[in-house]
Amino acid sequence: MGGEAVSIRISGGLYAAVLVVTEFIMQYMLLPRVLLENAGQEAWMTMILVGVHALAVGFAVVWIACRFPDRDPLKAIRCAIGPWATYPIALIYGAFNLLVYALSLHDVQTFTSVLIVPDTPAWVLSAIMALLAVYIVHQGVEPIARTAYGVLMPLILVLLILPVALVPEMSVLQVDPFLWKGFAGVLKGAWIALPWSGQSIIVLSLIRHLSPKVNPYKWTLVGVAGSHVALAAFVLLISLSFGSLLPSRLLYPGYEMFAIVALTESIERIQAGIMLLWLFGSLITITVYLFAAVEEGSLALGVRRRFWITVIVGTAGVLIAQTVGGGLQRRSVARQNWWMLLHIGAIWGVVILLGIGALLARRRQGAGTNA
Amino acid sequence: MRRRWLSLLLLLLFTTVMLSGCWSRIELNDIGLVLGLAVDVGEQEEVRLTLYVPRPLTQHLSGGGGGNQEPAWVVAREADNFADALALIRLASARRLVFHHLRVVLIGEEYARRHGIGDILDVLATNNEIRLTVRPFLVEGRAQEVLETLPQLRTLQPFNLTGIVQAKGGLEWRLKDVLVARMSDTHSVWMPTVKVIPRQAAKPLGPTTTVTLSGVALFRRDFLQVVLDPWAYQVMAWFLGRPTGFTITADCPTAGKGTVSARVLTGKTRVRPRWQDDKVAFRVEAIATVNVTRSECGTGAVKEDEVRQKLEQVLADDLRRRLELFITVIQDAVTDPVGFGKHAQLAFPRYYKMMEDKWGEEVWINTPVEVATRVTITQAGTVTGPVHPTEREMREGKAQ
Repeated sequence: MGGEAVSIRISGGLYAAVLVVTEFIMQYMLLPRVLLENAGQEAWMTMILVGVHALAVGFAVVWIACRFPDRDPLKAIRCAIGPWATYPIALIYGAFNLLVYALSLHDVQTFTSVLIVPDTPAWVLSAIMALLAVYIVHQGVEPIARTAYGVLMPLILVLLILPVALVPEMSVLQVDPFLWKGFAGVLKGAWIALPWSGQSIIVLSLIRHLSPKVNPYKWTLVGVAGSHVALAAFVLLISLSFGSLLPSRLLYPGYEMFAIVALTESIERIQAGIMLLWLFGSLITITVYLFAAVEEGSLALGVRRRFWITVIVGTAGVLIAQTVGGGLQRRSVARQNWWMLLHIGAIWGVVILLGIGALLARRRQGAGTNA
Repeated sequence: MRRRWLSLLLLLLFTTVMLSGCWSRIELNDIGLVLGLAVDVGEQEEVRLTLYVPRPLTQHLSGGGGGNQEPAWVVAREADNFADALALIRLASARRLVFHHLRVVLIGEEYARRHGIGDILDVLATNNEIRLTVRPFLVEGRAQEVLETLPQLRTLQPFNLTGIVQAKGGLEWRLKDVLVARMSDTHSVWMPTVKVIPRQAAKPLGPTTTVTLSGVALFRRDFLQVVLDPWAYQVMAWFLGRPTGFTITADCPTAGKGTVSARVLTGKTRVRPRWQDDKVAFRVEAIATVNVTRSECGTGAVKEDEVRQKLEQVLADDLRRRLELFITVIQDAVTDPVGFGKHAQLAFPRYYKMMEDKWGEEVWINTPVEVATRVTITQAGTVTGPVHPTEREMREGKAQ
C-alpha cells in the first residue's frame, strides 16, 4: 500500500466488482430474515428502496470527489485548508469502517461456527480472516479488486442458474397478496436496512484509485445498483420458495435456500460450494472495510509506513468482534433505533463534512479542475 | 523484497495449519450417521425416542455378504423430553451421533394425538445438522416398529421409506413444506402415513412384517385430527398438482359389470374462489388425460367415440366423488391441508383480512365447494381397447 496507493489505478469493472461484493455478501446472509419479518413478501421492494439510499450516498461522494483533481477530496482539503480540517472526517470515517470491519468479522465467525465448524472457537476463524485481510490490505487495492472480480463472476452464474433449480420449490400457495403487510412494513424494513446500504460510502476510499479514463458515476451505478437488484432478486426467490413467514424465523434463510436445492437425488448439498464462494466474498468485504479504515486514517495522520497501523487496526477489529456476544445479541442491537441513527449519522456526517470541506477548499483554490 | 516473501511464507504456513481442519477434526470412524428418527409416547416417560444408525460393515463382512449382523443399530430411550432422551442415547453410543444425513422422521400416532408435533418440529428446525429436506411421516401405531422392521427392496429402512414415496409418484412432502404449512395461517399441516403390516415370510426365519404407505394424516394446530386411507394420498397429489402415475378405478357404465381402471398421464387441479351469497365459495376443477389399463366393462374398443365417452364419464364421476369426499372430510376435521384459505386470501384479500382469525375454525368449515372433473382417455396401453370381448361376442350382443 504505502506511497504507491494512489498511483495504482483500477478499471471501472474492478471498481464495480468491489462495490457489488461489499454491498452484497454480508447483506445477503443477514438482511433477508429481518426484511421478510417486517415487509413480508415485499422485502424485495425494501431492497430497492435502500438501494436508492445507497446510490444517494455513493453519488454524493462521487460528485464531491469529481470536483477535485485525482478525485481525492481529502487530499485537496488537506492542501487547501490544512490537515486539521480532515481530522473529523477521517476520524468518523475510520471509526465507522473499523466498526463495520469488526461487525463483519463477528458475522462471519458466527455464521461459520453455527453452520460449518461448530467445534472450532469463533475467535480462531476471526483471527484467520483478519490475518488474510491484513495481508491483502498491505498489498494494496489491486489484489482486493481482482479477488472481488473473481468472486463476482461465479456469483453471477449462481444468480442466473439458481432460479431454474428453485422452480420445484415455488408455489402460488406460498405467495401472499401484494403488500399484504402494507407499505408501512416495507418502510420499517427499509429503516432497519439503511445502515447496511450506507456502506456504499466506501466509494470515498476507492474512487481515487479508479482510472481517470472511466466515468465514475456509471461504474458506481453498476456496482451499487447491481448489488441491490441482485439482493432484491435473491430475497424474492427466498419468499417464493419458503413463503414469507418461515424465512423470517430462520437465522440464515439465504443459506437454507441453497441447502434445499436438490437437482437429483445425487446432485444436492450445493450449499457447500456456494458457501465457499460466500466466505471468499466475505473476506473481500472485511478487507475493504479494513482498507478504508487504514487508508483514510493513515492519510489524515500522515502515516507513510502503514503495515503496523494495518496490523493494529486489524487486531483491534478481532478484539471488538469478540465483545459483541452471540448472533442473537448482534441482531438485537441492530434493531435499535439508536443503532440506526448512529450509523446513518456517521455516514451522512462524513458526506456533509466532506461537502463543507470541499466547498471551503474550492473557495480557497478558486475554480478547480473537474476530473 | 525478502521480508515480503518471508511474510507470505509465514502466512501460507499458518493458513496451511489452520486449513488442515485439525482443530476440531472428527474422524469418519468416530461418526454414527443417524438416518432415521422416531418419536413415540413412552411407556414410563413422556417421550420415547428411537434412532436408526446404520452399522458400518467391517472389511470381512462387506466382502462376505454381511453375515448375520443387523444392518443398523436401532436404539431407543425414554425421557421427559426429546433433548434428554437424545442425551441418554448418546450415553450408549460408541460413535458421535450426527444428523446431517437424517432422511426420515417418524411420529407415532398416539404421540401426535396426545402431545402434538409442535415440539418435534421445533427441535428439527432448530438443529443446524438437520436439513429441511428430511421427510416426515406419521406412523399408524408405534413409530419405533417401523424402524425395527426389515425393509424389502432396500437395505436400510429410511431409504426404503423415501423410496416408497418416490416410486409412488414423487409426491414430495418434506420438513420444509410442513414448516411452511405450520407457519401459515392459510394452511394446516398434513403428512403421509405409514404402518407396519404382516407378511408371509418366504423362509422360516424371514421377516413377518413389512412397511407400507397407508394414507394421509391431517393436523389441526399441531395435533393429529384424522388419519385417512390410501385414497386420500392420491387426492392430495391432485391438489398438489402431481397426480401423474396414480390410478383411477371406477364402476363400469353398466351396473354390475365390474370396474375399469386408468392410469393418470397428466392431471391438473384448479381451485377457483368466487363470491356467492355474500361469502366466498369455491369451484374445484380437475382435468386429466388417462391411459386405460384394464376394463371388465366389455364395452368394446375404446377407439370408438361413444365407448370412450362413457368410460370417461364414469372415471370423471369417480374422481369427482373422491374429491368431494376429501373436501367434506377436511371440513369436518376443521383442517385445510391444501390451502383453500390461501386461494381465498389471494382472490379476496380485504375480505380475508377481516375474517383472518375466524377463517380456519368458523368460515372454512361452512364454505360451499363445488367439484367439476373432466377425464380424457388418450390411450389404452398398446391396443385400441381391451382385447375382450371378441368381435364374435360383440356381434352376438354379449358386449354392452
